[in-house]
Amino acid sequence: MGVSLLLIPIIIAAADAMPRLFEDSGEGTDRVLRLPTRIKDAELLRAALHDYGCQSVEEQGNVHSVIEGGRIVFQPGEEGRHDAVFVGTVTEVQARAFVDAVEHEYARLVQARVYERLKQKAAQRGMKLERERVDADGSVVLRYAMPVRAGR
Amino acid sequence: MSEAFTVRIFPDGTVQAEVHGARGKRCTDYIAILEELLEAETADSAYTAEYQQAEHVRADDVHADDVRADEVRRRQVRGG
Repeated sequence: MGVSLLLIPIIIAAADAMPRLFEDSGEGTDRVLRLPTRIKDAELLRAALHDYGCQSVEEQGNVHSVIEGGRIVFQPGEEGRHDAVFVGTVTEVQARAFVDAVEHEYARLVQARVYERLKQKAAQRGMKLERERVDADGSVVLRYAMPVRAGR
Repeated sequence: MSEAFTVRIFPDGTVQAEVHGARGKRCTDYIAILEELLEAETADSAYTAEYQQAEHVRADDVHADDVRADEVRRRQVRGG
């Protein structure tokens, strides 16, 4: 008998097909674009930005960075997600492309973190790793046997 | 059958897990175990074909037991 589950790590939000973008006018020719992201963890966000080649600083929970055409601030938004706020002359296409790229790096780091946690926690619980492989799509597959319970 | 589970961690960060060999409530106990192991929340869950087949076997067993009980009662009535 069995059960099949789809799980979302708490440090990432489920993917939206096309997140809604909000636009506002900024100072002078600047405009402000706000785009919700799947990102929930500021420390991992900074690592993702670094891997993507962007410097960043964190101030009062916000993560600041600079990109061509303006600056970007990641601010905690609804449901623990960070909103990416672009200020400058960045277009909607550029904003979406940037967020997609950073989310891609971020998701890769989430995958690595979940893998490390599973290996550590499963070992602590005495679960035996039976199989492990990496598939062509980059998925990591692990099979664990549960320890035999007393009285079984 | 021994209990085991398979976890697939996708590059987009989501995780698919399948539990094998667990029965009844033990099957749903795994939801909490996996959520703790993976620090994740369940977005969707379903019983597998393996579970459905096992449930069919159990239903057939129950039906067979009912048939046997009816037969015993009929014999008792005829004999009594």
